[in-house]
Amino acid sequence: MVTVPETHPAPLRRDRSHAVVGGVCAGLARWLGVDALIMRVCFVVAAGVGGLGVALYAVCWALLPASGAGREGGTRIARAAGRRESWMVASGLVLLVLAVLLLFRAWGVWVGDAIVWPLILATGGGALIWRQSQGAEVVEPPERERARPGGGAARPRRVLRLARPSLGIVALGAALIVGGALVFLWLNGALELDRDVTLAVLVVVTAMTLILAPWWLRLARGLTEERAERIRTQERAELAAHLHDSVLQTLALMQKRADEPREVAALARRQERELRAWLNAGSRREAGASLAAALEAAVAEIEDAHGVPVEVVAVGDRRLDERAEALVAATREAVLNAVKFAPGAAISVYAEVRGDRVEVFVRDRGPGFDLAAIPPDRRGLRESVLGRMERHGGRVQIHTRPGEGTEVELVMAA
Amino acid sequence: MTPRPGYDPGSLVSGIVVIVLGALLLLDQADVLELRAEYMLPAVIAAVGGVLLACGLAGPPRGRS
Repeated sequence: MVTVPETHPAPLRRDRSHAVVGGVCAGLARWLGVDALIMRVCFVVAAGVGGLGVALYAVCWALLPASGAGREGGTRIARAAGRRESWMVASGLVLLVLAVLLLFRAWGVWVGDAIVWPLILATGGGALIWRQSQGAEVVEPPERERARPGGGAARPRRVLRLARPSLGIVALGAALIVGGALVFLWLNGALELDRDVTLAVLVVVTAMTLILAPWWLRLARGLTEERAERIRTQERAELAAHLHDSVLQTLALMQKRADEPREVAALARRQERELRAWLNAGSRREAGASLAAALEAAVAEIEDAHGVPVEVVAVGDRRLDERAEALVAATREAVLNAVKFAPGAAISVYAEVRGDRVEVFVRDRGPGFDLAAIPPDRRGLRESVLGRMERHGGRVQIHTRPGEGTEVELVMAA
Repeated sequence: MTPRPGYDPGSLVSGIVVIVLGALLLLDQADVLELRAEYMLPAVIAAVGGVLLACGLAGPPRGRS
């Protein structure tokens, strides 16, 4: 099967790494595939025409997100745009641009009201819509929607979804563009010739909007409710199917093997593990890819082999590299020791990933032992736990006393 | 009353802008400067815009989430 990579055009961003002022020209040039110098010359020339270039640059600077903004937190304006004070920032920028334009108008560097004001309105509206479309979320359907009952894979359907506040901004942008067009027509006298026709069209459009708006709103709301109901139904069906395939089948198996308590306990434990993994599907870890997943897999293997329940709690996670693999192997050996020498006792594994290190504690409430009395030929503890950890730069501490259980503390630098 | 941990940038810029505008108007009244409407209007609009921008960038007031 040949996989064709899906290509996405690079989003329009300000390029701060090649910025002279705000990175607008560099960003536009990169997006258009031309030299940044050409864009800068264009803006400088436009600035000489009634300050249009200045206004355009300010609008682009305010509305275009900077490249790498998500990683570094963005510029101050970009950060402020996400807060409640965003309207103050936007209003301030609009007023400053307006002041610059009025100043150019007063100096006589002006191409005319009939061109500049409509152009500014339309540019502002277009920039708003453009920015919202750039930030729109491409939503992949959930896995259950992609899977078909027949087993065939449905073609992924991608949806461009605007957040609810974004719809208002898009509407404002559209209104600005329409307003700019109307102002342009009005200032150029185009509306006066067909004033009666224009007025009639406006009245009819307004009336139709008022008549159709409630119906449209009801339709939109109905579609949303229908979609939510469909999702709920699918979730219920999925839940019922999973319970049948897993829990009910296991219960039936346990009834058949009721005279084998060890086997029943193993079945119950395996089912519990599977059910927990399914419930935590949102934070499911890929087996073999992370430390926590590897720990869980190693412990599960011991549980299945020996029929002994071992509680595993993992806080945090990290990539599974050579040192983490050594830590997992040492933990596995410590758990095996606990299973062998503390029969019937509760065994638990607690793993925590901190900033600079990983700690694993293997505890059992067994008989404990005298650490000094371990014979030198006991390679399990000395080599597989202590030796392995030391070879990989880790350390092991064993806290035990006869009759007080055992705690093996394994620490490895992250 | 607990002392304020620092100044508010928005208030600082607002104060400076109002002082500058007041000084300009005073100079105009004293016939030292001749302010014309076509320059005063952009100046006032720019002042208001600057204040709004400063307040917006300064973030929410201290002591309020």
